[in-house]
Amino acid sequence: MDNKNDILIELKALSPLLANLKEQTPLVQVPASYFEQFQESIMATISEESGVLSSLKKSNPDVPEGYFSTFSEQIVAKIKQENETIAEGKLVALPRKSNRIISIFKVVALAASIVGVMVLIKKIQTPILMPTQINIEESMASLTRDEIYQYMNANSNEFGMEQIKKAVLPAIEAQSAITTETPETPVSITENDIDTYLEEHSNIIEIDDSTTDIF
Amino acid sequence: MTDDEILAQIKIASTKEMAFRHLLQRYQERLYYHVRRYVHNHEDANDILQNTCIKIWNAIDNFRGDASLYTWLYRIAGNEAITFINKNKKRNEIDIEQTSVKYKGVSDHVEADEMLTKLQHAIDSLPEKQRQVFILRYYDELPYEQISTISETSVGALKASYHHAVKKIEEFLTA
Repeated sequence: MDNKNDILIELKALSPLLANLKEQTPLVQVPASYFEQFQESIMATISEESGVLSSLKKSNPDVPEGYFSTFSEQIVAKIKQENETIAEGKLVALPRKSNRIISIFKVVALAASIVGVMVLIKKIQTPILMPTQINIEESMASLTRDEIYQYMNANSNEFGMEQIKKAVLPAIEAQSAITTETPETPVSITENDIDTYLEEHSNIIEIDDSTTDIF
Repeated sequence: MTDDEILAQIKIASTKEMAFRHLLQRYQERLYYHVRRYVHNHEDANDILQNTCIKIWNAIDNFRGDASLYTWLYRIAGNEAITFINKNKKRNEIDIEQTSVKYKGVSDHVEADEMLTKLQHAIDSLPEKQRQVFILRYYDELPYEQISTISETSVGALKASYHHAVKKIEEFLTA
């Protein structure tokens, strides 16, 4: 699809209107003898520009009089002077240019540290809200032994043996104290004595009965 | 004198000017008509062509011959035309706007010269790449392979651009 006919066929397929217009397109109007003069016009412009450039290249910028005649001597003298300075140990370090990225990082790090410290101080000053601690011992003291035993009976599976022993211990000790306070038991105790004793201390026996439920 | 001979003579300082005159003689008209499709009048076309030829003179020593001389010259001329248009964009936009208003609602039976003027403005309204492809294909009647070298675009993309351009111009003309 490269020759003129193919291009026209392609165009007709795409747009018959444009294909029709193409056939009617007149030649572009150009001033008379334009192309004859064009070459000369271009060559004149080129030579003009070249002339300007060549004249610019030839003229050197102004230099102080005698600059180049003394230049080499000045350089040699300067090198010698620098060598002497090095030998005398008078080297002076140039001020170090700080790295911009590092400088920015330092500022950011400092700001972050300040913010961190402020947050920490605020946290220390603020009382930590903890759930109200319950004084278990005080609460336990307010309970009667009956209440404790009933609770432990009802929830026996939730307590270990040591916990139960610890809970029962005060009752046993109390019982022992009562026992020691009682007059010394006669060597020979009759059944009547026992019945009498049991009747007198029926409340203690009941407590013992309740404790047996646990075991 | 062939293109190769022109190029060989141009690289020699003593024959450069003579060879360049041959080059102008051969291509000046084609380049002129090419740039004239981008702009509306002779003065603008002349400015573009002058700049194009100066650039060719300055760059011809570095021309390596990877592409043909013909396509290389077209590329410089096209780029100069686009640069010129972009510099004078506001002026061109006003021209297009006025033309659009003038021809809006015109029936299919408009005079041929009016239609051709409208075609010129339709081309102006195209995006840069589509305008370049359309001019090279419609007016200069170049094969896609050569347009591909000039515009440094694949043949497939060029075909698509050309089809889009034709459809847009048709819409513009029949609006």
